[in-house]
Amino acid sequence: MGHLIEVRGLRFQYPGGSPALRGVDFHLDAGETVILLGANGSGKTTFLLHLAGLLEGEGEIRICGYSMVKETIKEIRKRVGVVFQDADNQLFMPTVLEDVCYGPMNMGLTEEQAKAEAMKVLKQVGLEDLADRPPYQLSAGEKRRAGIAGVLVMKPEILLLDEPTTSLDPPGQRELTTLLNELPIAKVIATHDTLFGRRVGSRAVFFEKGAIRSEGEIGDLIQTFQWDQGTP
Amino acid sequence: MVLPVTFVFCLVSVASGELTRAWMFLAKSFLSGAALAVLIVSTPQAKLMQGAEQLGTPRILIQVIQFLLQYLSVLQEKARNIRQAAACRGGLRLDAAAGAVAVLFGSTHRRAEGVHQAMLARGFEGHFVPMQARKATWKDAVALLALAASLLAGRYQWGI
Repeated sequence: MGHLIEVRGLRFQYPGGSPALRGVDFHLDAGETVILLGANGSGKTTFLLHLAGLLEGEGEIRICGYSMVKETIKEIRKRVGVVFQDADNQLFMPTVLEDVCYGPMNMGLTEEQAKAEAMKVLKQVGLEDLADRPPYQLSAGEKRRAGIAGVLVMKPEILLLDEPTTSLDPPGQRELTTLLNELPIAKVIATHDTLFGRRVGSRAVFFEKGAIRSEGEIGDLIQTFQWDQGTP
Repeated sequence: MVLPVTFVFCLVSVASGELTRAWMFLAKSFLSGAALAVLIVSTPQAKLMQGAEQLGTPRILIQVIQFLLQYLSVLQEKARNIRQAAACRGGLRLDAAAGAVAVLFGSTHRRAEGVHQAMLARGFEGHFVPMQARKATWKDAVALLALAASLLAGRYQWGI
C-alpha cells in the first residue's frame, strides 16, 4: 500500500522572490504525525500550502492516491484539512457555529445537517457553549480550537497545522496537545515549539533553505541542529 | 447617504416656495431611512443576503457585498491596531497618516489573501452556498402591517 502523502522533487518560487522550495521529497503514512522543523523562511509553510493544493509548484504530489492536478483538487481538499497559523484568518463567518458549518455546506450538506455535524465537533473540541459567539470574542486558545473544529467537521484523512501553538498560553497548549493526540488521523505540523513537537510527533523533518536537510526521530533532530531554547 | 441629497432637494423646494413638496421629501426619506435602519439592526447579515438573493439581486453583487462586509471588519481591526500603536508613540500625525493608510491597505490585502486561502481549503468554489429559504413568521406579518399602516397614515393624514 502506498503512502498517504508522497512528494517528489517539489520546487517552487514566489513571483519575484528567491526559490522557496528546492526539490523536496517527503512521505507520510496513515496515523503518523510528522513535525516540520526549521528556521523562519525555510519553506515549511510553503510546503504545507502545496499539500493543501493552495500553491502550485513543479514536481509530483500524490495525496490519498490522487495526483495533485487541477481536476483532483476538489477531492484532495476533502481529504486534507488545514489549520492556518493565524486563527483570525481561518474564522471568517459571523458566528462560531456558522464558521464550522461553512465547509460542510460547501460539500453539499443542508443547513440542518451541517449544524448537527458542527455541534458534534464543537462538543469534541469543548466549544459547544460558544457556538453562537462571534469569533472575535474568543480567546486565542478558543479561536485555535474553533479553527480545528472547522476543519475536523469535514472529516479529513490528513490534518495540516501551521504553527498551532502560536499565541497560546500554557493551558491552551496543553489542551491542544491532548486534542491532537486524541485524533487518530495523520498530521503534518510545522512548529518552532519543540516541546509541543516532542509531545505530538512521531517523526520529524528539518527544513533548511527550501529543502529537507534531515529527517528522523524528533529528539535526535533537535539535538543535531541544536533546535531548542537551551537551558538558562 | 440619502439624507444629504434629500436636504438639497428640500432646500430647492423651499426656495421655490413649495413647502408641501419639501415636507414630503423629508418625510419619505426619513421613513425609508428608518425602515432600512430597523431592517439592518434587526436582521443578521446572512439573512439580509439571503433575502436579497431571494428578491433577485444578482449573485455577483451579493458576493461583492459579502466580501466587502467580511473585509470591512478586517480593515476596522487593522485601523484600530494602527491607531493604538500610534497613540502609544504620541498619536498619529497628519503627515504620517498617508503612510499609515498605505500600510493599512497592504496588511489588509495580505490578511484578505489569508482568508481567501482558508476559504479555498474548506471547499470554496467561487460562490457562497445559498442558505435555505426562510419562512415568514408572525413577526414579519406584524412588521409588514406596521409599515403599511404608517404609509397609509402618511397618505391620508398628511397627504404624503
